[in-house]
Amino acid sequence: MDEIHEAVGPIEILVNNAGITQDATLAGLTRDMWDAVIDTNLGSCFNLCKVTFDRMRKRAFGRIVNIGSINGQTGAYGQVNYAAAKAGIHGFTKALAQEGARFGITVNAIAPGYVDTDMVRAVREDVLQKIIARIPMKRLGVAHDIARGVVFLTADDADFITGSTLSINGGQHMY
Amino acid sequence: MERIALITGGTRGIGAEVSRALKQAGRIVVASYVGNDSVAQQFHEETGIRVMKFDAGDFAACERGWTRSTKRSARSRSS
Repeated sequence: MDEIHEAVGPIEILVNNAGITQDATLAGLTRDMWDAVIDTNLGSCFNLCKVTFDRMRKRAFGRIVNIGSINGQTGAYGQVNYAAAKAGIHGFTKALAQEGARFGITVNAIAPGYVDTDMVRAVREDVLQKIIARIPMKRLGVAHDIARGVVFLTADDADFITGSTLSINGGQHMY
Repeated sequence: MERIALITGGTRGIGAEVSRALKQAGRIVVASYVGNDSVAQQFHEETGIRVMKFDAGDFAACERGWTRSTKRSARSRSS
């Protein structure tokens, strides 16, 4: 690790975005479905922070953005596993932000609403239309709506923004 | 500024756009993915962004992946 550090320097910007869904109501939710979603969506956030944080700390610079979800804020029918993992992301973010602040490491979350990706397109069409009808902007988000939030939060001069959650959801959920 | 950025799930969906946007912002980007080799390869060819395959949900894989990502960056920078 030291040799690599000398050669190139460490990862200074980490975006914990990896996520899957395995939806079912509790009656149909297996332990395997629970574990898969918790491990991929929340466990991955721990794993990557764990292996990069120390280098960020030593260099007194780090930008971590964790991708949460509107459904981690509100809950969602048939998503006990996903909502728990994403709510976990938001708690994790606020806790690690407190640890990182003194070392120049910011830790923030983005809570996307419904974004036009394969994951959302997998939702049944009539259900999707009902969801869109409830979004004040009357459209799904696009991936770039989220990406520009990541660029903002990872900027070198975004050093006073930490522990925050940036909701990017077309006004679907506000608090 | 030239800083190394790692995006998990960075070759598809929101992650792919995050990878592109950070590259546009001047970052050296590494995008991880877990399963879909053909999509990842296509993403790499379209964007020039380094892709690497490891399961972000697997702690041991993350320790190895982190090492590999920085080594690849080293090669890229020296070339």
